[in-house]
Amino acid sequence: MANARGAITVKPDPFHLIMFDAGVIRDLVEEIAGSLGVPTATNIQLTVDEEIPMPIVATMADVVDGGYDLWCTGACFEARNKSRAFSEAHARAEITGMILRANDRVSGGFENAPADSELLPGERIAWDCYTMGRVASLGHKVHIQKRLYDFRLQHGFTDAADAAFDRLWNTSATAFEAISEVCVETGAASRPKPKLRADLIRAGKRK
Amino acid sequence: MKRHLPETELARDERFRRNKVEDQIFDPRNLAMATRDLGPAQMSVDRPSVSERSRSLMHGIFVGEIQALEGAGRTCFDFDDADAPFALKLDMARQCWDESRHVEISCKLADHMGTDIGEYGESTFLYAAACNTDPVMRLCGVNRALEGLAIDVFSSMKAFGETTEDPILTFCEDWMLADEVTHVKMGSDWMRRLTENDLDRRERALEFQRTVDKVFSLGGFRGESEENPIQITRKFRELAGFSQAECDEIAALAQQAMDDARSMVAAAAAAS
Amino acid sequence: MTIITVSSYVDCIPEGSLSTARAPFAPWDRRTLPGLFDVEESARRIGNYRWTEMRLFEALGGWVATVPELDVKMVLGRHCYHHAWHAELWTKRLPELREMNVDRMTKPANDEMVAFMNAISEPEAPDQTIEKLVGVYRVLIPRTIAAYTYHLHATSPITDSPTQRSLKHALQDEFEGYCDGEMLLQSLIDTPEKVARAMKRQTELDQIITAAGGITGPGSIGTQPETEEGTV
Repeated sequence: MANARGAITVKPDPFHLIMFDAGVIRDLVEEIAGSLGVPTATNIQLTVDEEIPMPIVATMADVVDGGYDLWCTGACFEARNKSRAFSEAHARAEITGMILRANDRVSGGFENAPADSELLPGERIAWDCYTMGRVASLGHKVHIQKRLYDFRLQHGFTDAADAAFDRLWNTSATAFEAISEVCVETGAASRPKPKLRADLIRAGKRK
Repeated sequence: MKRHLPETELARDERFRRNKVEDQIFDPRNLAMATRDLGPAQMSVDRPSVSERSRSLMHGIFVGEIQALEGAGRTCFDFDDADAPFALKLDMARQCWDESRHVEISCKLADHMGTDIGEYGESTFLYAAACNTDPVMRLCGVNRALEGLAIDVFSSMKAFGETTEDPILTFCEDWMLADEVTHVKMGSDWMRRLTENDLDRRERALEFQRTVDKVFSLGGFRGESEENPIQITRKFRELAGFSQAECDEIAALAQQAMDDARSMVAAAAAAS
Repeated sequence: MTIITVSSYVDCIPEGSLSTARAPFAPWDRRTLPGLFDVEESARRIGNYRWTEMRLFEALGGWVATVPELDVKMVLGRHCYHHAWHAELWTKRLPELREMNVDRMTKPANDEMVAFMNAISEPEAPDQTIEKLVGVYRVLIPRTIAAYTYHLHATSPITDSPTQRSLKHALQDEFEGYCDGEMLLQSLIDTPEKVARAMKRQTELDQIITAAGGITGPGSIGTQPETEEGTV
C-alpha cells in the first residue's frame, strides 16, 4: 500500500496469518518517520514476515538507493502474551529502532557500516544498544535489563561489557568506528564468526 | 476444600494470561514454519533471536515450576493415607518446598534475563498431567515424565549458560538440576513400591508416562539432534534411576513425535 | 532424690589430684529428673501433634494451587514441607514411646479438634486467601506454639529429652512460620473491611478450638491448680 506521501509501503497487505492491519502499521511508520525527521521524499518499505512467530524476533534496516529497506519478523510486533495479536507498543518501539538505524546509515556516522546481513553479532547488538537507548530517551518503555542481557550474551558477563553498555546506552551520538572499538574492548571481535548468515531467517529458504 | 482441583481453577494474579492449546495447535503459521529453513533450533549465541528465545523459555520454566509446585501440593491433599502413604506425601511436601525455591530462582533469573512475570502466555498442560486421580499415574506422569523433561530443560539451559559464560544462569540451573534428579528418582522409587504387587497397574502407569513423554516431546521440541532445542540428557536421567533402555525409549518417542509432526505438515501441505 | 550442688561437684575432685573423676552433672546443669508426663501422656500428646501437623501440611499443599498471590503460594509450599517434617519427627518418636503402631496413636484430641481442622481447611476460592491464612497463622500456629512450649517446659528434661529436642526443632519452624504468615496477613489486610473479615474468621475458629481445649484437648497448656479458699 503506497500513500499520498508517495513513499511508504508495508508488506504484506493484507496479512493472512496474523491479526495485523497493514494500514495501521503504515500509519505508524509515517508518524514515526515524521517525528524522526526522515525526509518526505525518502521511500520506506517495511516487510513483515508474518510466518515467523514469537520468540523469533529479528529486524533489519538497510538503505538501498536512498530508500529505507526495513524488514522484521512478525514476532517483533506480536503481543507477547497473546498469539498472533498485534502489540502497538512493541510495533512503535521496533519501528522507531529500525528508522533510527536507517537514519544512522544515511547521515549518522554509520554511512560505511556493512549491510545488516554482514554485521557480526557483537557489532549488531552494540548498535542495537545505542539505538534502544535512544528509543528509551524518546519516551518508549524499553526494558533496560532485557537489552543489557542481549548485550551481555554477545559481549560477555563482565564489568567491561557492562561499562560499554552504559556508554552506548547513554550516548546521543556515536559512529560505527566506536561500535567496532567496543567489540575489541569486550572481546566480542575475537569470537568465532557465526556459522550461519545473519539473514538466514530473512532469506526464507524452504526446506 | 474439594479434592482434585481441575486446571481451569488454578489461581493466578492478573498478570498471567492462559494460552489456549487450540490456538497453538491451529496456528496457521505452523505449516509455513515447518517448511522454512531457519537453521538449527538449538539455542545458539550466534542466532539473531537467541536472547528472546532464552527469555521465553525461562518464562516457560517459571510457570512450569509454579504448576509443579501446585501439582506436588495437591498430591499431599488429594489422597487418603490408604492411597498415598504418609512417606509418599512427605516426599511430595519436600518436592513442594523444592518447587517453591525453583519458582523463586526462576523469578530471579527472569529478572536477570530481562523479562517480566506474565510477559508470555502460560500453558497449563503440565499441571493437567498432575490431575490424574490415581497416585501412581500421577507419579509417572509428573515425577518421571515431566520432572524428567525438567532434567533435559535444565541441562540444556545450563549448557547454554556455560556457552555464553553466564555465571548466574549456570549456577542456578546446576542447583535446580540436582533437585530434579532427586524428584525423578523419588518418582521411580515410589512407582516401583506402590505397584510391587500389581504389575498391571505398573504397566498402565508406564503407558501413561509414555503418553506424557510423547506429548512433551512436542513434535521436535526435545530430542537428540541439533534440530531439537532441548536435548535428552542421558547422564542425569541415569542418575535418577532410568535404565539405558528407558533412555532409548524416550529418545525413540521423541523421534516419533518429530516424525509425526513432519507427517502432519506434509499431509497439510499436500492438502493445501 | 540427690541434688548435685556446686559444692559437691567441687568436693569430688581431690585437692592436688590428677583424677578425672567428676560429678555426673556439671554445676551449670540444673536439670531435674521429674516431669509432668509419663510415657503414655507424652505419647498421647505426640499422637495429637502428628495428627494435627498432617492435616495442616495436607491443607497447605492443597491451597498452593488455590491462592493467586505468588508470594503466598511460595510460602505455603515451603511451610507445607516444614509441617510434614514435624509429622515425620513425631512418626519417629512414637515407637520410642512404646507405641509401635504409629497410626493407632495418630488421632485428634477430640471431635471438636476434627471440626476445627475441617473448618480451617474449608476455604477454597481464590479470593479467600485472608481466611486461609488467618486460620493457620492467627489461630492454629499460636495454639501449636503454646502446646509445644508447654510440653517442652513440663516434660522431664532427662527422661523425655528426645521429645524436647524435636519440640525445639519444630518450635523454631513454628516461630518463623508464624512471622511469615503474620507478615503476609498484615500486607494483605489493608482496609477496614478486610480487618473485619480477618477478625470474623479468627473469632469463628477460636470458638471451635476453645471448645476443643487446644490441639491436645483440655490441658493442652496445662491447667491452673485450684486455689484453696480460706487458707491463712
